[in-house]
Amino acid sequence: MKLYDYVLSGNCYKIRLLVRFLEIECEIVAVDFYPGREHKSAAFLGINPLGQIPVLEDDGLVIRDAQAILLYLANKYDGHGRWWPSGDPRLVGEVTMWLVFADRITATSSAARMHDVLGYDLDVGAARAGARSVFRVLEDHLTDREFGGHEWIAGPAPTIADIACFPYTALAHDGGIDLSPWPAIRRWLRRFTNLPGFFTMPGIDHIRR
Amino acid sequence: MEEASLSSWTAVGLSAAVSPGTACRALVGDHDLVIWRGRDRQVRVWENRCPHRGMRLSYGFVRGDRLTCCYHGWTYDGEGACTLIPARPDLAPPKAVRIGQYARAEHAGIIWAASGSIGMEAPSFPGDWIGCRSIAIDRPREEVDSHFASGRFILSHPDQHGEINRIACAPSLNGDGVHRIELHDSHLFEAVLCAGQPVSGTQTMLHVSVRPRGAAGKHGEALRHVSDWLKEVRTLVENRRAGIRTLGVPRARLPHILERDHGPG
Repeated sequence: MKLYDYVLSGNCYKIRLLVRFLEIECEIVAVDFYPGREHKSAAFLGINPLGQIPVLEDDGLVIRDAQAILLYLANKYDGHGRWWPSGDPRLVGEVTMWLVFADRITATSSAARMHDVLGYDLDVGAARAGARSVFRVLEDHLTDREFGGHEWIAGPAPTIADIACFPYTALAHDGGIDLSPWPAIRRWLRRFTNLPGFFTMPGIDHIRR
Repeated sequence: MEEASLSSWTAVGLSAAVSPGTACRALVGDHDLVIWRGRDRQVRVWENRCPHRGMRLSYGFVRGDRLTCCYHGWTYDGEGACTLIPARPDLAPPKAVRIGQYARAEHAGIIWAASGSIGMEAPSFPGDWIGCRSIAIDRPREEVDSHFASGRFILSHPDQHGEINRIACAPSLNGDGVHRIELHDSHLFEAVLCAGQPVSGTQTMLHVSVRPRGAAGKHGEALRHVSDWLKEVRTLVENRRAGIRTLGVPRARLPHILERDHGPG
Protein backbone atom coordinates (compact mmCIF):
# COMPACT_ATOMS: atom_id res chain seq x y z
CA MET A 1 0.00 0.00 0.00
CA LYS A 2 1.27 3.42 -0.97
CA LEU A 3 0.06 6.91 0.01
CA TYR A 4 0.97 9.95 -2.07
CA ASP A 5 1.36 12.43 0.73
CA TYR A 6 2.29 16.00 1.61
CA VAL A 7 3.26 16.77 5.18
CA LEU A 8 1.29 20.06 5.38
CA SER A 9 -1.90 18.61 3.86
CA GLY A 10 -4.75 18.06 6.30
CA ASN A 11 -6.44 15.75 3.78
CA CYS A 12 -3.34 13.53 3.65
CA TYR A 13 -3.13 13.70 7.45
CA LYS A 14 -6.62 12.16 7.65
CA ILE A 15 -5.32 9.08 5.84
CA ARG A 16 -2.17 8.87 7.96
CA LEU A 17 -4.33 9.05 11.10
CA LEU A 18 -6.58 6.16 10.04
CA VAL A 19 -3.58 4.11 8.91
CA ARG A 20 -2.14 4.54 12.41
CA PHE A 21 -5.45 3.88 14.20
CA LEU A 22 -5.90 0.66 12.19
CA GLU A 23 -2.24 -0.29 12.64
CA ILE A 24 -1.71 -1.13 8.98
CA GLU A 25 1.48 -0.85 6.93
CA CYS A 26 1.64 1.91 4.36
CA GLU A 27 4.49 3.35 2.35
CA ILE A 28 4.50 7.17 2.35
CA VAL A 29 5.51 8.82 -0.93
CA ALA A 30 6.25 12.52 -0.43
CA VAL A 31 4.83 14.76 -3.17
CA ASP A 32 6.48 18.18 -3.53
CA PHE A 33 3.18 20.05 -3.40
CA TYR A 34 4.75 23.39 -2.51
CA PRO A 35 6.73 24.98 -4.02
CA GLY A 36 7.33 22.20 -6.55
CA ARG A 37 3.67 21.77 -7.68
CA GLU A 38 4.54 18.15 -8.34
CA HIS A 39 0.83 17.24 -8.04
CA LYS A 40 0.28 19.13 -11.30
CA SER A 41 3.18 17.39 -13.11
CA ALA A 42 2.50 15.14 -16.08
CA ALA A 43 3.70 12.15 -14.11
CA PHE A 44 1.33 12.78 -11.22
CA LEU A 45 -1.62 13.63 -13.48
CA GLY A 46 -1.17 10.10 -14.76
CA ILE A 47 -1.91 8.90 -11.24
CA ASN A 48 -4.69 11.39 -10.47
CA PRO A 49 -6.02 13.41 -13.43
CA LEU A 50 -7.54 15.86 -10.93
CA GLY A 51 -4.02 16.79 -9.81
CA GLN A 52 -4.85 16.45 -6.12
CA ILE A 53 -3.51 14.60 -3.13
CA PRO A 54 -3.96 12.30 -1.29
CA VAL A 55 -3.95 9.29 -3.57
CA LEU A 56 -3.82 5.72 -2.28
CA GLU A 57 -2.57 2.71 -4.21
CA ASP A 58 -3.46 -0.72 -2.86
CA ASP A 59 -3.55 -4.07 -4.67
CA GLY A 60 -3.57 -2.37 -8.05
CA LEU A 61 -6.42 -0.05 -7.03
CA VAL A 62 -5.79 3.67 -7.32
CA ILE A 63 -8.18 5.73 -5.20
CA ARG A 64 -8.34 9.50 -4.70
CA ASP A 65 -10.24 11.93 -2.43
CA ALA A 66 -9.63 11.79 1.31
CA GLN A 67 -13.13 10.73 2.33
CA ALA A 68 -13.22 7.98 -0.32
CA ILE A 69 -9.86 6.67 0.90
CA LEU A 70 -11.12 6.69 4.51
CA LEU A 71 -14.17 4.66 3.45
CA TYR A 72 -12.03 2.21 1.51
CA LEU A 73 -9.51 1.67 4.28
CA ALA A 74 -12.12 1.32 7.02
CA ASN A 75 -14.18 -1.13 4.97
CA LYS A 76 -11.20 -3.24 4.04
CA TYR A 77 -9.04 -3.16 7.16
CA ASP A 78 -11.28 -2.41 10.16
CA GLY A 79 -12.52 -5.88 11.00
CA HIS A 80 -14.40 -4.57 14.04
CA GLY A 81 -16.40 -2.00 12.08
CA ARG A 82 -15.53 0.67 14.64
CA TRP A 83 -14.48 3.48 12.33
CA TRP A 84 -17.15 2.73 9.73
CA PRO A 85 -20.17 1.16 11.48
CA SER A 86 -21.53 -0.41 8.29
CA GLY A 87 -23.99 -2.70 10.08
CA ASP A 88 -26.19 0.14 11.32
CA PRO A 89 -28.13 1.96 8.56
CA ARG A 90 -28.81 5.01 10.76
CA LEU A 91 -25.15 5.39 11.58
CA VAL A 92 -24.18 4.85 7.95
CA GLY A 93 -26.45 7.77 7.04
CA GLU A 94 -25.11 10.00 9.79
CA VAL A 95 -21.43 9.21 9.22
CA THR A 96 -21.81 9.72 5.46
CA MET A 97 -23.55 13.06 6.04
CA TRP A 98 -20.57 14.27 8.08
CA LEU A 99 -18.05 12.83 5.61
CA VAL A 100 -19.67 15.04 2.99
CA PHE A 101 -19.71 17.93 5.46
CA ALA A 102 -15.94 17.56 5.87
CA ASP A 103 -15.51 18.78 2.30
CA ARG A 104 -17.25 22.02 3.30
CA ILE A 105 -14.63 22.48 6.01
CA THR A 106 -11.94 21.89 3.40
CA ALA A 107 -13.53 24.33 0.94
CA THR A 108 -13.55 27.12 3.54
CA SER A 109 -11.13 26.67 6.45
CA SER A 110 -8.47 24.94 4.35
CA ALA A 111 -8.80 27.61 1.64
CA ALA A 112 -8.16 30.36 4.21
CA ARG A 113 -5.10 28.45 5.40
CA MET A 114 -3.82 27.99 1.82
CA HIS A 115 -4.04 31.76 1.48
CA ASP A 116 -2.27 32.54 4.75
CA VAL A 117 0.32 29.75 4.83
CA LEU A 118 1.13 29.11 1.16
CA GLY A 119 0.18 32.48 -0.33
CA TYR A 120 -2.62 31.22 -2.59
CA ASP A 121 -4.48 33.97 -4.41
CA LEU A 122 -8.09 33.62 -3.31
CA ASP A 123 -10.81 35.60 -1.49
CA VAL A 124 -9.70 34.93 2.08
CA GLY A 125 -12.56 37.00 3.56
CA ALA A 126 -15.13 34.81 1.84
CA ALA A 127 -13.24 31.68 2.89
CA ARG A 128 -13.21 32.74 6.55
CA ALA A 129 -16.86 33.77 6.50
CA GLY A 130 -17.72 30.42 4.96
CA ALA A 131 -15.69 28.61 7.62
CA ARG A 132 -17.51 30.47 10.38
CA SER A 133 -20.90 29.38 9.07
CA VAL A 134 -19.68 25.79 8.69
CA PHE A 135 -18.23 25.75 12.22
CA ARG A 136 -21.49 27.11 13.60
CA VAL A 137 -23.28 24.04 12.23
CA LEU A 138 -20.65 21.74 13.74
CA GLU A 139 -20.80 23.60 17.08
CA ASP A 140 -24.59 23.28 17.31
CA HIS A 141 -24.36 19.60 16.44
CA LEU A 142 -21.67 18.82 19.01
CA THR A 143 -23.57 20.83 21.65
CA ASP A 144 -26.68 18.71 21.04
CA ARG A 145 -24.55 15.58 21.15
CA GLU A 146 -23.18 16.57 24.55
CA PHE A 147 -26.70 17.11 25.94
CA GLY A 148 -27.33 13.48 25.03
CA GLY A 149 -24.10 12.40 26.74
CA HIS A 150 -22.27 11.77 23.45
CA GLU A 151 -18.70 12.80 22.72
CA TRP A 152 -18.38 12.11 18.99
CA ILE A 153 -19.96 13.29 15.76
CA ALA A 154 -22.06 10.16 15.26
CA GLY A 155 -22.62 7.07 17.37
CA PRO A 156 -21.04 6.09 20.67
CA ALA A 157 -17.41 6.04 19.47
CA PRO A 158 -15.19 7.97 17.07
CA THR A 159 -15.72 7.17 13.38
CA ILE A 160 -14.15 8.23 10.09
CA ALA A 161 -16.53 11.22 10.27
CA ASP A 162 -14.52 12.53 13.23
CA ILE A 163 -11.26 11.88 11.37
CA ALA A 164 -12.58 13.64 8.25
CA CYS A 165 -13.70 16.74 10.16
CA PHE A 166 -10.74 16.99 12.52
CA PRO A 167 -7.72 18.33 10.57
CA TYR A 168 -9.05 21.51 8.97
CA THR A 169 -11.01 22.34 12.12
CA ALA A 170 -7.91 21.98 14.30
CA LEU A 171 -5.89 23.96 11.71
CA ALA A 172 -8.42 26.83 11.49
CA HIS A 173 -6.10 29.24 13.30
CA ASP A 174 -3.55 28.80 10.47
CA GLY A 175 -6.15 30.51 8.27
CA GLY A 176 -6.78 33.32 10.74
CA ILE A 177 -9.94 31.77 12.20
CA ASP A 178 -10.16 31.91 15.99
CA LEU A 179 -11.98 28.92 17.50
CA SER A 180 -12.92 30.68 20.74
CA PRO A 181 -16.58 31.23 19.69
CA TRP A 182 -17.09 27.44 19.54
CA PRO A 183 -16.44 25.79 22.92
CA ALA A 184 -18.06 22.46 22.02
CA ILE A 185 -15.75 22.20 19.01
CA ARG A 186 -12.74 22.88 21.23
CA ARG A 187 -13.79 20.15 23.67
CA TRP A 188 -14.24 17.71 20.78
CA LEU A 189 -10.78 18.61 19.39
CA ARG A 190 -9.25 17.93 22.80
CA ARG A 191 -10.97 14.55 23.03
CA PHE A 192 -9.68 13.69 19.56
CA THR A 193 -6.08 14.56 20.43
CA ASN A 194 -6.36 12.21 23.40
CA LEU A 195 -7.31 9.18 21.26
CA PRO A 196 -4.86 6.27 21.57
CA GLY A 197 -2.35 6.45 18.73
CA PHE A 198 -3.05 10.11 17.97
CA PHE A 199 -0.12 12.03 16.51
CA THR A 200 0.24 15.60 15.29
CA MET A 201 1.04 17.42 12.07
CA PRO A 202 2.59 20.92 11.79
CA GLY A 203 0.05 23.44 13.15
CA ILE A 204 -1.66 20.99 15.50
CA ASP A 205 -0.27 20.65 19.00
CA HIS A 206 -0.62 17.87 21.47
CA ILE A 207 0.96 19.37 24.57
CA ARG A 208 -2.14 21.09 25.86
CA ARG A 209 -4.26 18.04 26.60
CA MET B 1 -17.34 50.02 22.47
CA GLU B 2 -17.74 51.30 25.98
CA GLU B 3 -18.90 47.94 27.37
CA ALA B 4 -15.62 46.39 26.36
CA SER B 5 -13.69 48.20 29.06
CA LEU B 6 -14.33 45.42 31.61
CA SER B 7 -15.14 48.18 34.06
CA SER B 8 -18.09 46.07 35.19
CA TRP B 9 -18.42 42.32 35.68
CA THR B 10 -18.63 40.59 32.31
CA ALA B 11 -19.40 36.96 31.50
CA VAL B 12 -16.47 35.38 29.67
CA GLY B 13 -17.41 31.68 29.58
CA LEU B 14 -19.26 28.82 31.19
CA SER B 15 -17.57 27.24 34.22
CA ALA B 16 -17.95 23.79 32.68
CA ALA B 17 -16.16 24.93 29.51
CA VAL B 18 -12.87 25.41 31.36
CA SER B 19 -12.17 22.07 32.97
CA PRO B 20 -9.25 21.61 35.39
CA GLY B 21 -5.93 21.49 33.56
CA THR B 22 -7.06 23.51 30.54
CA ALA B 23 -6.68 27.04 29.19
CA CYS B 24 -8.68 28.94 26.59
CA ARG B 25 -8.98 32.38 25.07
CA ALA B 26 -11.71 35.00 25.38
CA LEU B 27 -11.92 38.41 23.73
CA VAL B 28 -13.70 41.43 25.20
CA GLY B 29 -13.11 44.26 22.78
CA ASP B 30 -9.42 45.10 22.99
CA HIS B 31 -8.93 42.85 25.99
CA ASP B 32 -7.36 39.53 25.02
CA LEU B 33 -7.85 37.12 27.94
CA VAL B 34 -6.55 33.70 28.85
CA ILE B 35 -8.87 31.75 31.15
CA TRP B 36 -7.36 28.72 32.81
CA ARG B 37 -8.04 26.35 35.68
CA GLY B 38 -5.43 24.53 37.70
CA ARG B 39 -5.79 21.22 39.45
CA ASP B 40 -6.81 23.24 42.52
CA ARG B 41 -10.00 24.01 40.51
CA GLN B 42 -9.44 27.76 40.83
CA VAL B 43 -10.16 29.66 37.66
CA ARG B 44 -7.84 32.52 36.63
CA VAL B 45 -8.35 35.28 34.11
CA TRP B 46 -5.14 36.93 32.91
CA GLU B 47 -3.81 39.04 30.11
CA ASN B 48 -3.29 36.64 27.22
CA ARG B 49 0.33 37.60 26.67
CA CYS B 50 3.58 36.12 27.90
CA PRO B 51 5.83 39.04 28.92
CA HIS B 52 8.83 37.25 27.45
CA ARG B 53 7.98 37.28 23.75
CA GLY B 54 4.33 38.28 23.66
CA MET B 55 3.06 34.78 22.85
CA ARG B 56 -0.60 34.10 23.63
CA LEU B 57 -0.73 32.16 26.89
CA SER B 58 -3.94 30.50 25.71
CA TYR B 59 -1.68 28.39 23.47
CA GLY B 60 0.11 27.26 26.62
CA PHE B 61 -0.58 24.34 28.88
CA VAL B 62 -1.51 23.75 32.49
CA ARG B 63 0.46 21.44 34.73
CA GLY B 64 -0.69 21.24 38.32
CA ASP B 65 -1.50 24.78 39.38
CA ARG B 66 0.82 26.45 36.90
CA LEU B 67 0.46 27.78 33.38
CA THR B 68 3.36 27.36 30.96
CA CYS B 69 3.87 29.37 27.78
CA CYS B 70 4.21 27.05 24.77
CA TYR B 71 6.93 29.20 23.19
CA HIS B 72 9.90 29.01 25.60
CA GLY B 73 8.35 27.36 28.61
CA TRP B 74 8.18 30.32 30.94
CA THR B 75 5.97 29.09 33.77
CA TYR B 76 3.66 31.09 36.02
CA ASP B 77 2.07 30.24 39.35
CA GLY B 78 -1.54 30.92 40.27
CA GLU B 79 -0.72 34.51 41.21
CA GLY B 80 0.84 35.23 37.82
CA ALA B 81 4.44 35.26 39.09
CA CYS B 82 7.07 33.62 36.90
CA THR B 83 8.52 30.57 38.65
CA LEU B 84 10.63 28.99 35.91
CA ILE B 85 12.67 30.05 32.89
CA PRO B 86 13.77 26.68 31.43
CA ALA B 87 16.65 28.11 29.39
CA ARG B 88 18.13 29.58 32.62
CA PRO B 89 17.35 26.94 35.25
CA ASP B 90 19.80 28.45 37.74
CA LEU B 91 18.23 31.89 37.48
CA ALA B 92 15.57 32.95 39.98
CA PRO B 93 12.99 34.65 37.73
CA PRO B 94 12.85 38.40 38.39
CA LYS B 95 9.88 39.49 40.49
CA ALA B 96 8.97 42.02 37.82
CA VAL B 97 7.98 39.19 35.48
CA ARG B 98 4.31 38.90 36.34
CA ILE B 99 1.15 38.53 34.26
CA GLY B 100 -1.55 41.20 34.43
CA GLN B 101 -4.57 39.89 36.34
CA TYR B 102 -8.29 40.42 36.06
CA ALA B 103 -10.73 40.08 38.90
CA ARG B 104 -12.70 36.90 38.38
CA ALA B 105 -15.69 35.18 39.93
CA GLU B 106 -17.69 32.05 39.29
CA HIS B 107 -21.38 32.21 39.87
CA ALA B 108 -24.48 30.60 38.34
CA GLY B 109 -22.30 28.31 36.23
CA ILE B 110 -20.65 31.30 34.53
CA ILE B 111 -17.13 32.74 34.74
CA TRP B 112 -17.13 36.53 35.21
CA ALA B 113 -14.21 38.90 34.78
CA ALA B 114 -13.56 42.58 35.44
CA SER B 115 -10.62 44.94 35.46
CA GLY B 116 -8.38 44.19 38.42
CA SER B 117 -9.09 47.45 40.17
CA ILE B 118 -12.85 46.93 40.29
CA GLY B 119 -14.45 47.46 43.67
CA MET B 120 -17.90 46.18 42.71
CA GLU B 121 -19.30 43.09 44.31
CA ALA B 122 -19.32 40.00 42.09
CA PRO B 123 -22.65 39.11 40.47
CA SER B 124 -24.93 36.92 42.52
CA PHE B 125 -27.94 34.92 41.42
CA PRO B 126 -29.54 32.71 44.08
CA GLY B 127 -30.40 29.10 43.40
CA ASP B 128 -28.75 26.14 41.71
CA TRP B 129 -27.81 26.93 38.13
CA ILE B 130 -26.48 24.59 35.45
CA GLY B 131 -24.48 25.90 32.52
CA CYS B 132 -26.41 25.29 29.29
CA ARG B 133 -24.27 26.55 26.42
CA SER B 134 -22.40 29.51 25.02
CA ILE B 135 -23.64 30.75 21.68
CA ALA B 136 -21.99 33.23 19.32
CA ILE B 137 -24.29 35.84 17.78
CA ASP B 138 -22.85 37.95 14.98
CA ARG B 139 -24.15 41.25 16.28
CA PRO B 140 -22.88 43.74 18.89
CA ARG B 141 -24.08 43.28 22.44
CA GLU B 142 -26.14 46.47 22.45
CA GLU B 143 -28.26 44.99 19.70
CA VAL B 144 -28.70 41.68 21.52
CA ASP B 145 -29.59 43.61 24.69
CA SER B 146 -32.17 45.75 22.95
CA HIS B 147 -33.89 42.65 21.62
CA PHE B 148 -34.13 41.23 25.12
CA ALA B 149 -35.31 44.54 26.54
CA SER B 150 -38.00 44.84 23.89
CA GLY B 151 -39.74 41.71 25.15
CA ARG B 152 -39.88 40.33 21.62
CA PHE B 153 -38.41 36.96 22.51
CA ILE B 154 -40.99 34.41 23.43
CA LEU B 155 -39.90 31.24 25.15
CA SER B 156 -42.21 28.29 24.85
CA HIS B 157 -42.18 25.67 27.57
CA PRO B 158 -44.33 22.72 28.50
CA ASP B 159 -46.20 22.72 31.83
CA GLN B 160 -46.80 19.61 33.95
CA HIS B 161 -49.71 18.58 31.69
CA GLY B 162 -47.51 18.75 28.62
CA GLU B 163 -49.33 21.83 27.38
CA ILE B 164 -47.10 24.28 25.56
CA ASN B 165 -47.19 27.73 27.09
CA ARG B 166 -45.61 30.72 25.52
CA ILE B 167 -44.43 33.60 27.58
CA ALA B 168 -42.94 36.82 26.41
CA CYS B 169 -39.49 37.16 27.89
CA ALA B 170 -39.68 40.07 30.26
CA PRO B 171 -36.18 39.72 31.56
CA SER B 172 -35.00 41.52 34.61
CA LEU B 173 -32.11 43.45 33.18
CA ASN B 174 -29.30 43.42 35.67
CA GLY B 175 -27.47 46.08 33.69
CA ASP B 176 -24.42 45.17 31.64
CA GLY B 177 -26.04 42.64 29.38
CA VAL B 178 -27.33 40.13 31.93
CA HIS B 179 -30.89 38.95 31.39
CA ARG B 180 -32.78 36.75 33.81
CA ILE B 181 -36.03 35.18 32.69
CA GLU B 182 -38.26 33.70 35.40
CA LEU B 183 -40.74 30.99 34.45
CA HIS B 184 -43.40 30.13 37.00
CA ASP B 185 -45.39 27.38 35.34
CA SER B 186 -42.79 25.39 33.43
CA HIS B 187 -42.09 21.87 34.57
CA LEU B 188 -38.64 22.01 32.92
CA PHE B 189 -37.03 25.06 34.44
CA GLU B 190 -37.54 27.90 36.88
CA ALA B 191 -35.32 30.46 35.27
CA VAL B 192 -32.91 31.14 32.41
CA LEU B 193 -29.90 33.45 32.74
CA CYS B 194 -28.36 34.94 29.58
CA ALA B 195 -25.12 36.88 30.04
CA GLY B 196 -23.60 38.67 27.06
CA GLN B 197 -19.87 38.96 26.39
CA PRO B 198 -19.14 41.85 23.99
CA VAL B 199 -16.49 40.12 21.88
CA SER B 200 -16.23 42.85 19.26
CA GLY B 201 -18.27 45.43 17.43
CA THR B 202 -19.73 42.61 15.37
CA GLN B 203 -20.00 39.65 17.76
CA THR B 204 -21.51 38.74 21.12
CA MET B 205 -21.08 35.52 23.03
CA LEU B 206 -24.17 34.71 25.07
CA HIS B 207 -23.35 32.48 28.06
CA VAL B 208 -26.51 30.82 29.30
CA SER B 209 -27.35 28.96 32.49
CA VAL B 210 -30.59 27.32 33.54
CA ARG B 211 -32.17 26.75 36.93
CA PRO B 212 -33.89 23.45 36.20
CA ARG B 213 -37.00 22.20 37.89
CA GLY B 214 -37.53 18.57 38.80
CA ALA B 215 -35.40 15.47 38.76
CA ALA B 216 -31.82 15.51 37.55
CA GLY B 217 -32.78 12.98 34.88
CA LYS B 218 -34.87 15.70 33.20
CA HIS B 219 -32.11 18.28 33.09
CA GLY B 220 -30.82 17.20 29.68
CA GLU B 221 -34.27 17.86 28.21
CA ALA B 222 -34.38 21.32 29.78
CA LEU B 223 -30.91 22.19 28.50
CA ARG B 224 -31.69 21.04 24.97
CA HIS B 225 -34.95 22.99 25.01
CA VAL B 226 -33.16 26.20 26.00
CA SER B 227 -30.39 25.54 23.46
CA ASP B 228 -32.97 25.23 20.66
CA TRP B 229 -34.54 28.48 21.80
CA LEU B 230 -31.11 30.17 21.75
CA LYS B 231 -30.58 29.12 18.14
CA GLU B 232 -33.85 30.87 17.30
CA VAL B 233 -32.84 33.94 19.27
CA ARG B 234 -29.62 34.01 17.23
CA THR B 235 -31.54 33.75 13.96
CA LEU B 236 -33.96 36.50 14.94
CA VAL B 237 -31.26 38.94 16.06
CA GLU B 238 -29.05 38.33 13.03
CA ASN B 239 -31.81 38.33 10.42
CA ARG B 240 -33.44 41.47 11.67
CA ARG B 241 -30.32 43.44 10.93
CA ALA B 242 -30.16 41.96 7.47
CA GLY B 243 -33.68 43.19 6.83
CA ILE B 244 -35.30 39.76 6.82
CA ARG B 245 -38.72 39.97 8.36
CA THR B 246 -39.62 37.04 10.54
CA LEU B 247 -43.28 38.03 10.71
CA GLY B 248 -44.06 36.24 7.48
CA VAL B 249 -42.85 32.92 8.81
CA PRO B 250 -45.75 30.71 9.86
CA ARG B 251 -45.97 30.39 13.63
CA ALA B 252 -45.65 26.65 13.43
CA ARG B 253 -42.21 27.09 11.94
CA LEU B 254 -41.05 29.10 14.93
CA PRO B 255 -42.02 26.98 17.91
CA HIS B 256 -40.19 28.92 20.57
CA ILE B 257 -39.76 32.45 19.51
CA LEU B 258 -42.27 34.77 18.01
CA GLU B 259 -42.75 38.40 17.41
CA ARG B 260 -44.92 39.92 20.06
CA ASP B 261 -45.84 43.12 18.30
CA HIS B 262 -46.98 43.09 14.75
CA GLY B 263 -45.35 46.33 13.83
CA PRO B 264 -42.82 46.60 11.06
CA GLY B 265 -39.99 44.12 11.47
